[in-house]
Amino acid sequence: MRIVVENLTHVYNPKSPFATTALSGVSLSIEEGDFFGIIGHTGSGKSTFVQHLNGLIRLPSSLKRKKKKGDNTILKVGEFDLTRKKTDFRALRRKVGMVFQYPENQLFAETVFEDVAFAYRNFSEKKPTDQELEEAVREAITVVGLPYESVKNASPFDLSGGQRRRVAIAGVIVAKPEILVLDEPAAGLDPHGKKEIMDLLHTLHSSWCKTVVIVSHDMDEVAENCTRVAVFAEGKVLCVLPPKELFRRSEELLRHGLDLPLTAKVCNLLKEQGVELDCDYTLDGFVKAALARGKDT
Amino acid sequence: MKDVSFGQYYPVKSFVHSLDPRVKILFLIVFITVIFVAKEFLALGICAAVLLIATLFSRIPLTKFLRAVRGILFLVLFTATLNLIFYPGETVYWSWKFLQITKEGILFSAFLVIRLVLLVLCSSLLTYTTTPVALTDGIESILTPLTWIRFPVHALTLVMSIALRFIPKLSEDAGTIMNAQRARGAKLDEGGPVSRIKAFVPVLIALLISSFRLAEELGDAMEARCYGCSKKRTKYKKLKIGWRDILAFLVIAGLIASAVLLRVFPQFPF
Amino acid sequence: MKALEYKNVSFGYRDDSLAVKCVNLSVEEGEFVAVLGQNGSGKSTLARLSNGLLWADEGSVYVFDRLLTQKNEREIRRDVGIVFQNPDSQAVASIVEDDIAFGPENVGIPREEMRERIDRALKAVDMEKYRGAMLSRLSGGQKQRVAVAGILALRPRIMIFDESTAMLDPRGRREIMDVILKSREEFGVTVLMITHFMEEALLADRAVIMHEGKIAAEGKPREILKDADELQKYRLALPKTVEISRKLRAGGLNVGDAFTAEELTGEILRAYRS
Repeated sequence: MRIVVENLTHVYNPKSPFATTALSGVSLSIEEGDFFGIIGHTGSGKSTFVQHLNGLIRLPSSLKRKKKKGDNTILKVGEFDLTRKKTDFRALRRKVGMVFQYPENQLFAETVFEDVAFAYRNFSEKKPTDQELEEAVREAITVVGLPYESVKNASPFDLSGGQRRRVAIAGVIVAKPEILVLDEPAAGLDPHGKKEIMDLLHTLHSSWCKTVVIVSHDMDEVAENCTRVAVFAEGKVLCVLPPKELFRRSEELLRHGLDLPLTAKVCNLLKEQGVELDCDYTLDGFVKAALARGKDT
Repeated sequence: MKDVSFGQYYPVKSFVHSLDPRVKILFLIVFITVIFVAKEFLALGICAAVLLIATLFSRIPLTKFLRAVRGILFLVLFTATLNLIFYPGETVYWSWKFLQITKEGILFSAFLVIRLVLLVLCSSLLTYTTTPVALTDGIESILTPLTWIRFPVHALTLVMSIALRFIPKLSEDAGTIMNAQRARGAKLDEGGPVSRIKAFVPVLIALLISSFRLAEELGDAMEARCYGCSKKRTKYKKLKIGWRDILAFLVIAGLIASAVLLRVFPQFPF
Repeated sequence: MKALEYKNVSFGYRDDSLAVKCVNLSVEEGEFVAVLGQNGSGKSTLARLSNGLLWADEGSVYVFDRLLTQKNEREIRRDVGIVFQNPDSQAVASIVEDDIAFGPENVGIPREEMRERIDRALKAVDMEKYRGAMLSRLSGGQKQRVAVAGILALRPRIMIFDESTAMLDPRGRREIMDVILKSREEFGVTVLMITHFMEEALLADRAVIMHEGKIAAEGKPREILKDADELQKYRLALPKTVEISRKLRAGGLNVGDAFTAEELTGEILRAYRS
C-alpha cells in the first residue's frame, strides 16, 4: 500500500486562544517497501502526522457529510481515502499498525497471551477459533524474539523493560498490518536493547510488514536503517531524501537545529581538511569509503 | 496534550485577572451566600448588575459564559419545570388533576432559574480569570488560620497542587493510551453505553498502572528533595493585597450591605 | 576526603531483580564518576541506597565519612541530591519557580535566601527566562533542567544523576550534560552519573561498569570503553567512534582508537598521510 499525502494541515484547538498549528500544507508519499524515517524536533509535527496515517486524528472533512469547497487535501493509504466520511477506519487500522512511544504503557492484560490477542480479537470479523487465535499469537510472540511457551502465561508486568516493549510490538503486529508505524521504537533502551529492536524491525520489514515507518531522534539510527527520510520542521516537510543525499546537506540540517549522524560529522571534518568521501553514511559504508580512499592515496 | 485547554483558565490580561485570588474567592463565597439568602428580585438584580460589570472588566467573550450556562441548561429547565407544576399557590392560572400553574409557582421558578444561572456565571468568572495555581495559593492562604487547630493546611494544598500539576500529564497519558488501544482495534467510540464502558477497561487498567508508577517515582523525587525533613517549613510565595484588591473588596462590601438591607427591610423604598 | 563510600553493600528485591551484590565503591570529593551497565544491572538501586530511599540489607554507606543511619538520613539527604530519569514525575508544582522552591521550603530556608538560591539555580541550568512558565508546556530537556535546578537549590555536596538523560532527545541530552559540567564548576559538587550512553561516560574522571549487581570493571573511561570483549560480556556496546576505528584497522588502515568525531578525523588523516 502506498501512502499519498498532499496539503495536509492540522490545527489543535481551532478558534480558541490555545490554537496551535501542528501541520501546515504537508505533502509527501511513502512507497510500498520503504523503511521510512521521519526526523525533526519535538513539536515539529511528526507525531501529529503519523497519527493521521491510521485515522487516529481524523480530517475535518471525514467527519462532515460534505467536503468544504476549496479543500484540496489528499490523504490516501492504499485504497483508503481518509478525507471521506464513508471510509472504513477500522479496516484501515488493521492495515496500518501503530506502535506508540514507550508502547509498554499500553499493556493491560493479565497474561502476555491475552495482551497480544487483544488486537487480533478486535480486528477479526467473526470470533476467531481458539486454534486460530493461538496460532496468530504464537507467531507474533515468536517473531519478536520471545520464547512463546515460557512467556505466554506470564504477567507482562513481570518481564524486563526490553521484553515488555517486544510484547507491546507483538500486540500490534498480531493483526498482520501491511504498514507498521513506530514512534521512537528504541527510546529509553540500553545500547544492546536498541540494537535488538532495530534488528527486529528489519526482520519484520523483510518477512511481515511491507512498509515500516519510524519516527526517530537518533540520526545514527536513521542513517543506518532507513531507505528514505522526511525532515519535519515547524509543521512543514523540508525534504524527503534517501540518507545518502540527505546528510550531504548537513548545513541545512544544522541550521534547523538537527543533529548529524557520526559518519556525516566525520565526513564534514574530513572535507574541511580537503578529503572528500563519497559514502552512504551507514557505518559500514563509511568504513568502505574511507578504506577505498586510503588505497587511492 | 495539545487538545486539552488546561482547566478553564482563559488567558487574557484584565483587571479581574490581576486581582488577588483570595479576593475573588471571597467574592464568590459572598456572592453565593447573597443570592441564596435574597428573597427579592431587586437583590438578584443588583447581584446580576455587579456580576455583569465584573464580567465586562474581565474581557472574556460573553459567548464563553453562554457556553457555561448551556452546560447546566438541562438541570435548570428540569428543576424549573418541576417547581412550575408542583408549587402550591393561590392565584391559579391552569390546573389538571394534581398539577397546577400558579402565579407563585411562576415567580418561584423564575427566581430559581436566575439563582442557578448567576451561580454558574460567577463560578465561571472565577475559574476563567484565575489560574489553578493561584486558586490553590488563595485557598491555602484563606485556610491558614486553621493551622492553629493543627489542621494540615499545607498537606492539603500540596495535594491540590500536585493534582493540578499532574492533570495535564495524566490527560496526555490517557489520550496516548486511548489512541494506542484504538490503534489495536478497541471500539471506544462505537456501540451502546455498556459495550463502550467495557471497551474502556483496557484504557483504564493501563492508565492506572502508569499513574501508580508516576506516583511512586514522584514519591522518591519528593523524598530526595527533603520532603518532611524539617519541622520548620518556609514558604516562598506570599500573596500581596494591592489597591485594586481593596477596591474590589469595597464593591463586595457594598453588595453585602444592599442585599442585607433588602433582607432586613423587605419593603425598603428604593 | 571520600564523598560517598559503599562498603560491602548488598541489597535484594524480593524477586531478585535489580539487586546489588557486595558492592565496594568510593567517590572522592569533587570527582565525577560514571556508572555504566545494561538495564536491570542494579545501577539505579545503587543511587537509592545513597540517601536512605532504600536501605542496604548488608554493608554500610558513608557520606562524607558519616555512616548513613535511620537517625541521620534527613541530614544526609540535604547533602545527596538525586535527579531521576523521568522528566514528568519529579515536579510537585505547576510553575517553574514554585517547583524549584519546594526543596528549600522543605528544609526551612528563609525567604530572602530562597530567592537568591532560586536565581542561582535557574541561572546554572540556563532557564532564567522560564521562571514563571508552566512546567507542562516545557520540553523534556527543559523539564529535566528544572529538576536539576530543584536539586541545586538545596545546595547538595553530591549530585547523583540516575539515567537523567535516558528519556530525552539528543538536544535535551546535551543540555543536561552541559548542566552537569556547569554545576561541577559553579558549585563544586561531586557527581555520580548513571547512564548507558557511552559518549556521556567519556566526560567522567572515572567509569565503573555494573553487571548483575556487581562492579565488573573500573578505570579511566577511555581504558574501559575500548575493551570490546569485556563490553560485549556486560551487554554494552563500543562507542561508535571506536567501532569505526577498529573496522578501519581491520581493513588495513592504521588508525588508533578514537573517542570523538574530531579524534577519528585526526586519526584518519594521519593514517592517510603516513
